[in-house]
Amino acid sequence: MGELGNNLVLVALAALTSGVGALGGIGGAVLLVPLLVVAGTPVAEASPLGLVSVIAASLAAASGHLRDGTVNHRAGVLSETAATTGAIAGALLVGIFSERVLTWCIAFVIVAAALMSGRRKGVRWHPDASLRESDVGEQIGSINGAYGFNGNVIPYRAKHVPFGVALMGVAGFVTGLAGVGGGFIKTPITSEVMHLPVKVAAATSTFTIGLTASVALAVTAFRGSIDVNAAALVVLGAITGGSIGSRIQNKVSPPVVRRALSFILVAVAVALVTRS
Amino acid sequence: MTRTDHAQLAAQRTLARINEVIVVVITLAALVGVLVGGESGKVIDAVVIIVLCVVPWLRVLWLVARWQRIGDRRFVAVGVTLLTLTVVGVALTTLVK
Repeated sequence: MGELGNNLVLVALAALTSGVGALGGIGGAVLLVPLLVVAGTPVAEASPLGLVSVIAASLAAASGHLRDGTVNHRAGVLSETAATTGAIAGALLVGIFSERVLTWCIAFVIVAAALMSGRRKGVRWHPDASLRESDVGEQIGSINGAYGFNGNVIPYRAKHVPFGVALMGVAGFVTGLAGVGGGFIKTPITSEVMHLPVKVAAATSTFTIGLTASVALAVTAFRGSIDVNAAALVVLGAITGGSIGSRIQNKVSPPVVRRALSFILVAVAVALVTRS
Repeated sequence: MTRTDHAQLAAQRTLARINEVIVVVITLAALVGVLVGGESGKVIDAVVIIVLCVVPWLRVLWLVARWQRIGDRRFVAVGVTLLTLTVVGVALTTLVK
């Protein structure tokens, strides 16, 4: 295949994985990187491209999430603070467990999260006819709020917040140790442990994984190990895929998002184990 | 303190418009970088990478400033903690590795 063909394949892969990632709020890197490695790209070159895809897709999805009020910034900043604390500790203790053991542990957690999301029936939060569009948003001083869907306003109240935040810290620690992003764990914790609606959890996770990936990319760029031409192609694909994925997520019902998330999580677990 | 942040959605819609402009500019710049190629293309692509690294954190700064303005001190503290941790984390990771 010529250079043009390779470039088009890279754009298409970035678009596909970012679209799938935006649907579940897990980022596309965890799917893109193994695919690139299988296609013959060295891991050291594929990993930064994965980070670029996550940030570009996060930015592309942000406008829709901001306009609809589905993203919960307070929950995002709170969980990201815990995850960052864990990730720093994990990054400093890299090497205490073998990468293979860590990968299998993460894969086990992902499959458990997929089962939790997939088995639950119905929805936890229902529309409140007394609420108007102006009630969409977050409550000051907490991570409770309301979001809009199909012309209705759906209020929600977070539960088990300290436990959920602690789990985010543990997730950050493990992902910091393993050197992978934690988007695939953040959405299930936010949705299934903290009881935020899955659409809010996915939009919030899409926001926070952009933060995590931008820091990782800055550190990588500081070391000068990014192929900027390939990164530009990934940006083009990821922005397209992220926009489409977030629009689909916005239109489908919460149970559909949850089932799609379960399916994607299983695919991520397989990708991780294959990569290891 | 559990009142709803009623002005949030309007503020977010302004941010959404700014974000859209940024996404269009990044897309066009990446496209130009790919089409131009060579050293000039690399410079444009490098600028795209730098913008990608900075923009998500501008959103956090915007949030912290907004929470400060509406008096949500608890989440101002959380946001400042996140920004501080990130700077410390990047410094530690860069120094240790």
